[in-house]
Amino acid sequence: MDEYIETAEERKESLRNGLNITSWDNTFENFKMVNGVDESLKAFKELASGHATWHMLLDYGSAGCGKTHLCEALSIEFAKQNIMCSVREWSEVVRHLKRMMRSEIKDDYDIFFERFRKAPRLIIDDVGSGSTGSSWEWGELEDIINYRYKKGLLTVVTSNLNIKDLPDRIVSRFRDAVKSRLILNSAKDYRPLKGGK
Amino acid sequence: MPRGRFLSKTISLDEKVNSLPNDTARLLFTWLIPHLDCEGRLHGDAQTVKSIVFPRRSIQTRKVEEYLKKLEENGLIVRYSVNGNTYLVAPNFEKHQVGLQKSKEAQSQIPPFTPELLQSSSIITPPQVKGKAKAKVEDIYIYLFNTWNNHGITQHKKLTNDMKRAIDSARIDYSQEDIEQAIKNYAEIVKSAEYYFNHKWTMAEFLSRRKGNNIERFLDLVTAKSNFKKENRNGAHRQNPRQIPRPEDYTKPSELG
Repeated sequence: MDEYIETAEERKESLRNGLNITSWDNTFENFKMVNGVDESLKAFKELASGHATWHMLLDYGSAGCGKTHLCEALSIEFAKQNIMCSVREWSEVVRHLKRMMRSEIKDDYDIFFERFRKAPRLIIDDVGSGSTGSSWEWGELEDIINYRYKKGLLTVVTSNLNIKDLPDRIVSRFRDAVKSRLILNSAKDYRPLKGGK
Repeated sequence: MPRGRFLSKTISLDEKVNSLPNDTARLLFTWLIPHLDCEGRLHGDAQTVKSIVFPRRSIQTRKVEEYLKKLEENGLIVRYSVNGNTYLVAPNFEKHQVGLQKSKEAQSQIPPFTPELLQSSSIITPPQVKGKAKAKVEDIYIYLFNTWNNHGITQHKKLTNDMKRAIDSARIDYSQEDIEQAIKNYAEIVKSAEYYFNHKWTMAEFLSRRKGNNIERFLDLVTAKSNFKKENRNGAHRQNPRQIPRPEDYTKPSELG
């Protein structure tokens, strides 16, 4: 039988896909320090170090301020510690949940939801982008956040929405001074500056 | 559902299994077997198969879909659609399940496969119906192309490969009916003066992800209408993800009451 052996490159690519990161270059070291990102970077690094005394982080800010880069850097740091923690875009999660809902076997939805809610570490990127923001979506997110808040599970959420536009019950979980950090990433859109322009 | 299924040692010699492109495809088939219900059926879309069969493996959904197609081509499974949901069935399931006692198992919750479904399905391509299935896919392209033009959003003269790719990409996650519904809803909103959303995409832009997930955005008419209503525009950045506050407009944590 022809044995299919993955090359190191294929394994790396496979891992990259599994972590759902766009590039291995999106590390903390490669993160460009611009005004407004310091506090966010510090918080993400603290979580990566495993020494954080808190476990909930909500990082919000405008498009291009580096939220996704930081999520991916955190995922890469975890991978270096042999911890699998993929970056999940909220709109993708919503779409998957809706597909499960349409499934005729209702347990599918619950199984997926429970697995997601109980993951030891969870990085949810881009809440507010690409989905409709229906009350059902907020309800599901609130359920996830509330559960993880109570159980002490590491949870990172990023959003381009203003905190005033996020449901109060969600924001409230991230305002706990002991368990959480709520950080405004006030950097401007870095994308137009890429390549030294 | 029992804890597993019988795996015959003849699998090692099976030509269909051995002719799969690589060991991952063979692993997919082998690991799929224990998850089949008493009728040899399972959900058939790549995302669900991946989450059931490979929960701890880093395999792209795209790859799973590719291998599922290979399993279909080799006649190891047949995929079919019922009400927009995709299912699969292993045709030789009972032959290999020695001692299968259906009466002691929960009834299958997956609708049975019938030849009619094979005819109406758009995604299955087993060798014996490859020609028909291909014709069916072409029909879907033409149908959606005509649907788009009939709604008078932007008029296209020719069905291009770019449009076909966009339709293929949309059909991974959505049924033909969902796509049709989203196009219809988009047309209604974009043409009405009641809604502020008036940008007219091409069909390929609308269906591909290049301009965001428009199918999701317009699939539910009530939600879409609420999101794009003119009077809601002030809070539009909440509903319309393409309008994001400027950095200076964000509320600082310390400013919360």
